[in-house]
Amino acid sequence: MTAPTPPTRATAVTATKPAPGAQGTGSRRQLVVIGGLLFFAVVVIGCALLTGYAAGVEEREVTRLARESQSIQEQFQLGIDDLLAARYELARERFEYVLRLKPDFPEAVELLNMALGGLNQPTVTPTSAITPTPVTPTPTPDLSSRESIFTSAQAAFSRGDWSGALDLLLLLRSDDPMLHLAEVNQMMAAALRNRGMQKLQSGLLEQGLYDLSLAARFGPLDSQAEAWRSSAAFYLLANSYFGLDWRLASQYFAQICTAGAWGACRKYAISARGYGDLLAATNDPCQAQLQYQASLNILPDNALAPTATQASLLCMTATAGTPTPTPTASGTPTLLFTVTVSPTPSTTPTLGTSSPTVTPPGTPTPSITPSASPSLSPSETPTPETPTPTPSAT
Amino acid sequence: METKPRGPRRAQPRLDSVLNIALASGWVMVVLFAGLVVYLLVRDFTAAWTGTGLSPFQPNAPQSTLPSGTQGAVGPLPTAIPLDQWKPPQPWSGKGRVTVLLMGLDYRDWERRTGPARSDTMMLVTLDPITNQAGMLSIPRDLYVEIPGFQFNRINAAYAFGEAYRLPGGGPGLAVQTVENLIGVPIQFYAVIDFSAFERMIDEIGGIDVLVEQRIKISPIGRLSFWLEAKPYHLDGAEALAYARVRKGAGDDFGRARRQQQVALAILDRIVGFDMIPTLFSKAPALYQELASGIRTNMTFEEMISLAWLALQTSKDQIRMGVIAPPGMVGFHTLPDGASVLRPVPDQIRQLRDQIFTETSAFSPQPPAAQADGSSP
Repeated sequence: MTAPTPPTRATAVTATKPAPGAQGTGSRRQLVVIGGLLFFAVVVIGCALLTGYAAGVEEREVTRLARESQSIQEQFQLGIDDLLAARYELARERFEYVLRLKPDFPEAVELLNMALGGLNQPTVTPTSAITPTPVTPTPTPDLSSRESIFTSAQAAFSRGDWSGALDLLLLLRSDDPMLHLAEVNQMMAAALRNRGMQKLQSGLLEQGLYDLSLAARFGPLDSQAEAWRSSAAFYLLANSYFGLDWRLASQYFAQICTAGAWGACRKYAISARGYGDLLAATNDPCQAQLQYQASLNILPDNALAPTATQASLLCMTATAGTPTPTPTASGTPTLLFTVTVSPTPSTTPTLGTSSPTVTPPGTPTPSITPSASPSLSPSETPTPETPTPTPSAT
Repeated sequence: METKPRGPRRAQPRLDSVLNIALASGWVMVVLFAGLVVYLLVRDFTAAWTGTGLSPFQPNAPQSTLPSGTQGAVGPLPTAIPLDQWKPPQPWSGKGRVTVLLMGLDYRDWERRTGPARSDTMMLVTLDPITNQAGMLSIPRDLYVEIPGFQFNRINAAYAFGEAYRLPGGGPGLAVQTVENLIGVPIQFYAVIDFSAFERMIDEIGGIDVLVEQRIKISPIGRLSFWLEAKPYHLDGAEALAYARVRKGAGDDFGRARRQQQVALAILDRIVGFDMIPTLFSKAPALYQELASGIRTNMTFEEMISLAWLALQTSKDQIRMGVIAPPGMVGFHTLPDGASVLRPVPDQIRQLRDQIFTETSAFSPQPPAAQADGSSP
């Protein structure tokens, strides 16, 4: 048996005066503990930030949905009030809004049909009611690389999704401005041009003109786009005089009316009536009668007919026996302008290639041929054009 | 005998470790408490921003109540000119141009309680994140335009009609639609700013510096009127608001529009030039309260932050400014009832629009870098 080693002394020594190595271990342990506590704090605060943000977003969404639901109820009720008060346009808008947010709302479809009936517009079936988003499913673009963005942009372009293509092209341009510069420019120009034409055709005139202005930065527009552009600009010029200068409004709208686009004839009728009133007030019943006649030819109005008759009688008196036909709402129209409106068949875009001159699927192109006051007519006669698509080298 | 001194020596580490454990536990408790506070703050902060701080004016007012001075027939059948289908503004992709319609409301309508307020100020602010160019376009309130669904009227009536008829997009929705039809550019966001919130926000950033170009008398709310000479001034919130709003003299509405743009630039200068970002962070809760209660907008808080960041990245010399003003862009007309209105001259306005929006767009045959170097207004 060996005598046991007295450990107490060593232990005591260690306890009172630790060896340098042991001291290092202790402070390292302290550092680890402090580090751990700090890490814990970071984790807790980080989690609190993230979960707090997520909970806030969720709460906000719940609030939004509650407000949306409240808004649906409110708009529905207001729509009923509008319908009862024969404010069909407002009622239509409200019910369409309700159906956009809540398509499965049969009462709204029914009431929308009543509003449309009041407006003499075709009614909708429950299945064809307003949908909140376009029905055509759009593939999710692949944004994993610049090349894939470019390919996605081409695909969007090919299917005529001009806005989608433009968004992707912008994304590409922000990432790498020089990538496929020529092709990107070509697609941008074409998509802007086509979107602009779509907007013009749907009555969004200034919006369409803006797109065409952007497209024109890439090069001259084709003749069809130019013709639409000048027609739209001319319409907006005429519109700026509406209610302020009936003479000019009437003159200008008379020419736009020949194309039958953008509700110009209605505005022409109102302007002609306004101009007629002005002429009647300035003791020119003959000219006033002509304006009333022109207005009645387009927009029969029982309230205006007696005024027109009175102007005609005054004119006859003034001209001392020179007979002038009495205007009637249903009488033979006396056109101030000889017009030719020749709708042309719509053309479809050439798919699959990125061409700058693809014609969008559209409505008939107005062909305006005013025979009077040519200086006031739109500078170009819009003529349909079937451009040759230029495939891009990709 | 040898173990005698070990008693207190053993007790010391035990005491230390107990103390350490207590400290660690305390730390854990503090951290957990801080975490809870942070969680609640962030949650409430995020959830509170609904983007509709300002309540619509008189939400329970009868539908037909309209502010006095709105011209034209807004009778029961606003069907002569079709009301466009209201659509929510197109979302901002984050890459393309973003445009905000800033509106201030007419205080007089508010004070008179005659019905929903008309917009007193309309300004389009646009930023293009690709070209890093920005622009401001002011629209005079007397411009006589077609308001969808409500025939022709002054453009400032659009907001009131949207509120009065409680249209789905409300006053801001109809105002945005009307301005889009006039200018042609897509507008993603609107912000209706309460005057008092504007004042307080300027005070929070310590006021602004402006160079008064022409002697002008201002009347800050709640203070005596006084003259500003043609020289540089440091204005506090109330003075800045009065300077931006004063209409009499110095070019009336058009001069006022220019001063508003000047104030907007001065705010940007103040924030960027004085390195206010740390101060803004420290005052974030107060500013947030001002924004949340004084601005009615369709922007989310995140979108506001990213837009503010984008604005801070934009150099001042890359900002184009314009006012729809005479000569050329408007014509002066008088309605049969004697009211004065402005006729927009579309092709001239289009030229200004193109200078601010089209020429600075990323839709360009030149890459953005070359465009920024080479183009000038």
